[in-house]
Amino acid sequence: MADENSLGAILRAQGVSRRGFLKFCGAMAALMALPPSMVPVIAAALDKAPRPSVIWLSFQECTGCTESLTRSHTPTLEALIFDAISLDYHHTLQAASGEAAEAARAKAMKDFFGKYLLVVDGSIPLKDGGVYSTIAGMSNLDMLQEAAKGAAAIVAVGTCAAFGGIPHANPNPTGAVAVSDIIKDKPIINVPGCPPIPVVITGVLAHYLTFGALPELDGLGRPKMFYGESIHDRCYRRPFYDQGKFAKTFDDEGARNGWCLFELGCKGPTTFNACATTKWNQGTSFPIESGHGCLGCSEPNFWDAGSFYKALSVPITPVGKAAAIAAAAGIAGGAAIAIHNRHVKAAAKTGHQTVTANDLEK
Amino acid sequence: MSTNAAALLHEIAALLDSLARTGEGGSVQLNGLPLLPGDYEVLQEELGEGELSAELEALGRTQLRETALHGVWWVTHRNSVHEIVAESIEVTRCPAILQTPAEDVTESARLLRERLQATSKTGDRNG
Amino acid sequence: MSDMDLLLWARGPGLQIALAIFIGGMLIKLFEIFSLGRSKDLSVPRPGNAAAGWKTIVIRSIPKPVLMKRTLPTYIMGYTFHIGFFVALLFLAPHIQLFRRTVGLGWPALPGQLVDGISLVAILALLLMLPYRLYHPVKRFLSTFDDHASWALALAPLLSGYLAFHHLLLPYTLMLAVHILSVELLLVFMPFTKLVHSMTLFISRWYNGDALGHKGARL
Repeated sequence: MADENSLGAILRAQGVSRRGFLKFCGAMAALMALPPSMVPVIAAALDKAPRPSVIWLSFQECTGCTESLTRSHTPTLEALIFDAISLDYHHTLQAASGEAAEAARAKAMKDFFGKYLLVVDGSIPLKDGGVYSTIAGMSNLDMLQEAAKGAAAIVAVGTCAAFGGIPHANPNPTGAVAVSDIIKDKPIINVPGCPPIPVVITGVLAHYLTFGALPELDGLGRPKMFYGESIHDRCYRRPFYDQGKFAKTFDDEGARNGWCLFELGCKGPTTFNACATTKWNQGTSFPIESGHGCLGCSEPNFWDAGSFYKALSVPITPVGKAAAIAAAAGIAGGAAIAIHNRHVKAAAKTGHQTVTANDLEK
Repeated sequence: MSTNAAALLHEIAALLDSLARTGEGGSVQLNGLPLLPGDYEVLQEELGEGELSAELEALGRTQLRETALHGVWWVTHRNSVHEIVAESIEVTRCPAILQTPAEDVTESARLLRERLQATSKTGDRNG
Repeated sequence: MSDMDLLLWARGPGLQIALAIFIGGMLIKLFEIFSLGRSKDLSVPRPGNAAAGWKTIVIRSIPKPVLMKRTLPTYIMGYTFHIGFFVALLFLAPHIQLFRRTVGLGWPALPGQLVDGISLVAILALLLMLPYRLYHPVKRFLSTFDDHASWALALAPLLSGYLAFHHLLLPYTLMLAVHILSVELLLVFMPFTKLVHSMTLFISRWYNGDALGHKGARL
């Protein structure tokens, strides 16, 4: 019999039937690309999982990641997991509570020290002592370091928290960095995207709840089950890429026929995310399906990776100036060498001593 | 028929063979696949609609329909605002979610007993 | 440095540096060649050969039966590699995009799978060239470090491009970075190795043709 504080008991108390719970677990299994045989395992684990304490810290961000998740007026299956977790602190959602919210955060960190899950969105500015982003008078840097001490694991949600994101882009006036640039002694899961697909975030949490461990991560700390393949690998327009059928402009014949968007700047080949399979808005569509190339938003430095509308094979910085300077230097250098060579030839000519057969015999 | 739809049908055929021989089928998730426009409709046409369909109202409506091919079920899970959250083709004699969970049976046995005991008490009064 | 950082460097500063060294180097070589020039031939030129230099530039691209008989493998492998290399460089769609955006010129592309097949044949020709060079006594005797380095510098972009196109060996982002870096390496070393023949072949064919025409020899 499940403990009354377990996820299963809480869901049932909210009126979710066992079949409803199984439907939820089935959707989670599909999301994590697990076989149907895993559904009972997931159901059993989630049923008994203790309600985890989650502290959500929002730093230098646009709130797009939180928005992506908390469609509280349109409840979805993936939002369910957030109803089930004990969201002990989220300063945007709890903004009206003011100091009471800060007190709740302090209490949760104390009561669940070593066990709570820390979710971070937004980058952390470091310049000038971190004054460019503060909450209740405390800099983001200090708040992160304090909260990380008692965290079991940290989930860096969104490209800002995972890689620095838009504040980190050239010229990075606030000295923004990623969570992993500051915290080095705790397990960190990066869930990048600008924003990430909502169901990817809940899938990562579901995995953590089901298996009590972090999912397998790639070289950039992203869960392989969602970031293991590139958009290009799973894109439905691949046959057009392979046949060399590219749209040349938006709304030309090729674009209307759904041809590949490589020449219009699609970064699909170098971008790893679940957009092409899991898609957005409950599987409705994703950028390429809507006719716009992938921006590469789940990769580091995508804002500084050249135009969104120039192909991957095009340089990201203009080469004209470098070429012109090199040409000028080459001409100048060449001219100097030519003059030198002329001198050497002229000197050789004047210094040439004619020899007769008589000289040789001597 | 595009290669995507054809490949899917081959996979379903293989699962049906397995179900027939060993009693173990499987399922194919539709929402994760790169389907070309039209593939979905081709698949629906090829599989057709069978004699049995069931609706489950839990966290939104789920529709389970056996296709014209016995043992091949088309399952569509929707949420409370009618958006599709998961869609799959299950090859099975009966999708697991249709069966009543054992714990629910225990609970409803207990519930009915309690209700009968309560009515019998009031029933005594009315004779 | 992540794979993406490497790719962005290759597509950014890397290309600027490589292109600068390539242009500067080639121009200096040009000045060196023309300023040194050659000594005047004071003999009377044989008549009717004024355009011998220009003609030779074109004629030497056509195989000569006499030479083919003496060194057929070199001819076949050489032509296969060179033609394949230029088809891959000039007729693959992503490369045409690169030219369109940097130089301003574009042209129609060939189907990707056709270019892919031609590139594979070019790679095979190049791979066969090395053992032949080491086995043939004369070629082995004549080969220097420059020859082997030039071979490697030409192979790297073709091979890495093929691997990237097929998503083989390394994760795609890294494979693409390696491909672009191999091209940049080729650009950097081209003016300073035998690969400079890509520019100087026109000059040497002209000089040789002009000298032969002056003497009245067969071109």
